[in-house]
Amino acid sequence: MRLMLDERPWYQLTTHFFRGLFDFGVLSDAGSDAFRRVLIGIVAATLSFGLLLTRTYLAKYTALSELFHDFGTGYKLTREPYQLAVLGDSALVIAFPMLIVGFVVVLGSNSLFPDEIDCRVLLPLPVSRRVVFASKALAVMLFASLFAIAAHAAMMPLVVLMWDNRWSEQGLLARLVAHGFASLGASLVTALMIIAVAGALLICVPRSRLQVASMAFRGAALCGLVLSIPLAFRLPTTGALIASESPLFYVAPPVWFLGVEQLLLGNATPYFLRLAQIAAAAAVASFAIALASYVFLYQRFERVIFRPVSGADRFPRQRIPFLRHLRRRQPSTSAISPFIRATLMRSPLHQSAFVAISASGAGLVLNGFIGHSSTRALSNADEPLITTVIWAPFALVFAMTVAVRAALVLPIELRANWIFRLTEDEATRPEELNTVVRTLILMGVVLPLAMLFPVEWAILGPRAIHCTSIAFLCGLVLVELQMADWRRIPFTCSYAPSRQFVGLKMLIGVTAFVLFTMIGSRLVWYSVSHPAGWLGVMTILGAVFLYLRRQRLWLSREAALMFEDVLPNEVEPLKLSEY
Amino acid sequence: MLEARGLTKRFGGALALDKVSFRVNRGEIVGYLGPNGSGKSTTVNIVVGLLEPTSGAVTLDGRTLSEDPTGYHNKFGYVPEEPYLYTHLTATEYLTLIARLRRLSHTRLEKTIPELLRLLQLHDSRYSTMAAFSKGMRQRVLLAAALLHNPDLLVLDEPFAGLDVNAGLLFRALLGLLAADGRMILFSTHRFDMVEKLCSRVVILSSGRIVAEHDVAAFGTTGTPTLEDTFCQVTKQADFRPLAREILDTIQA
Repeated sequence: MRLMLDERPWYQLTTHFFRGLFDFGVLSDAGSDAFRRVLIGIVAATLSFGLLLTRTYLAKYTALSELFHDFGTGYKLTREPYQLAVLGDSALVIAFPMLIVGFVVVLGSNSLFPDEIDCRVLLPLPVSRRVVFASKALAVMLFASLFAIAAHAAMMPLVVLMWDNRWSEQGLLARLVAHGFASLGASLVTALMIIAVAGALLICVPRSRLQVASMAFRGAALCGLVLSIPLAFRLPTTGALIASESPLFYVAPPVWFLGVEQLLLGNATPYFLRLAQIAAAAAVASFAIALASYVFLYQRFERVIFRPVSGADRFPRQRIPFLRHLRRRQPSTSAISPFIRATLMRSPLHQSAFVAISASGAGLVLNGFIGHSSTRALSNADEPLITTVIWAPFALVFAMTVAVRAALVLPIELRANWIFRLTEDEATRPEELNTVVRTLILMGVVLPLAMLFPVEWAILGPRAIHCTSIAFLCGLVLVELQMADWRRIPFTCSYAPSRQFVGLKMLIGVTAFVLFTMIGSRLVWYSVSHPAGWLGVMTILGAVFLYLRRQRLWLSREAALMFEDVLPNEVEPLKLSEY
Repeated sequence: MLEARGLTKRFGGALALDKVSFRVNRGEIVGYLGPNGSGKSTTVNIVVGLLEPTSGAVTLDGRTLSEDPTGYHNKFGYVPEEPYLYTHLTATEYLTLIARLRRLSHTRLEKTIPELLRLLQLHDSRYSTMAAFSKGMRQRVLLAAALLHNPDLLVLDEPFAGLDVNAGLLFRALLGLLAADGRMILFSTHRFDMVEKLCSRVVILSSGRIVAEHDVAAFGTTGTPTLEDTFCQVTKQADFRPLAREILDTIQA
């Protein structure tokens, strides 16, 4: 069978395209091995998450299945609480695979259609264009299906727990079939929606603008997906709202497919019927656009993919001469900033790393604010809001500094780094490395604080200045800690992910986040309640910052740049004695 | 003057270069010829400072790389064998990056870069990222980058790969002018014709050792062997005609 398949060009091509979807093209051999370990770690974490969720829900559903268990309250449980819980939890169980599939398809969105290289390499061979396009489409669908199945497998114990209950009206098998159809359909539609948008961009946007448009789409999609994580995890609390037929869910895709599931289970209320209609319309529209994109590209291939890049419409932004004069710095310093800017603006991988991590921070902050809204509705107190507003800048600064650093660590065109190796100069090295730190401060500290300042001012008034100033200095200290041993020009050093066990790394990250946000918030509370304390806190933070900065500058003067990442078990002499 | 003295390089147990010594004088184009795996690129990488020799030293105007790294690096321009570039940048951005890393003045780079791009026929593509460039275009960008700071020494590793006929002719003429202007040029290549037309002297390398060093003018005159004959003889190249016959037989079968 395998031998028979090996002889088929479509099989060979599908395998090639499928593997290509996992290849980011930036990692060394050692890095690729390590990256595979990271992927295995992520899959393991997903499965563990499913089991953890099941463990958490076990108590809930055991309680719900008890008919007269009143825990001394006199309250008798009936079918209704179970039904409301199942509605909300089913929406979560549909949303989780949608998110996973959405993430992986967005990350691979630059390989969803045959590109110029595929065609230049494959079309001169005796392989028809139809086979190339069909194999690519098949590889993309297999790629999406792989992650969809993994995510569904992770959710399966929870699904069984939910429906293997005395209150369940239908048999387990019937519910599993209905859920499988609705949930797999939801994941598939998510993938199709992304393919449809990518295809529409490929066809409609001029080639000279395509890169920018694709980046913007990828960034926005990743941001949207990450921001929707906290919303997805609030779905279990929305059972009553769904049961009350809230029109709010007409814009919530997982709930559309919950409508499909309910319809398949025979619960054909007008509300679920409408939700199912929306789901069907979305499925048909995304399928039609994705298919049309493939067909259009297939038919007008030469015009769309081989169309020349028009140089005339891409003039660089001209800076006002006066400003250019003001911004003039040392040549070596001004070499690094534009390089960082251009790479972050044009590289999908770096942008994805930055957007995904910083959007996680934004998601946490958003979750905090949403959490506060529900608390406030119940208690009408301002304290939780103030707590969240004080905590938010620290959370966002932490996430964004980590995001920027992660993006700067990833290499691009590794073999092109020879130019930096040839031009390394002891005299300019500290200033070059300082430019990297400045970028981190600008994007990881100044930007989030500037974004949050209006919200803080609206809620805290003049105290927002206390909060922002302390968050700024804490951010500077955090940047100095993160960059203490930084000896690389961004994107030029090889990268070995999984330098530590993934679980340990996550534990360290979470602990650092909790400590940073907790200490930062406490410092703000202290300085707000003790007016003289603000000055003391600022002085101490400033002194710590200056000390760390001095240490970093010393190292950047003394130690050479790094172009090869080293694993912790490898000894890398700093050769300080040579200086 | 560029001088390599007793360069030896080991990669683990494997000996890549064995006591290689040669000189490139001012105004001279030295061809560095050898079969694949003979150690040409290793030598070039040591000369430009990308590799450290296990033993031996390279001096440029009497000073080694470790004595004056900045001065050494600023004296040479390098065109690598493969056009490894940051293809997400435009040609202008890439050249600006290099000019700034080499600490050229703002006025100079503003004047020189557009002019070089125009002369190397890259001006029309100056706003496209180099991902869309052909190999020849990328090679021209690399040459522009190597010349940008007006170096004394040019180290060229197969610079004609991927160039079209016109660009190749332009390069040849340019290298001739640069040598006449007193620059040193180390020209690593596989191509005999280029060595014969361009170089004043040739160093032939085989299995990490220098096996011959000749003035190019001496080849091909009456009664003397050609460069190709000499190369095959000193590098102990087999007669490839039987092998070619075998390949033909294989594909015909």
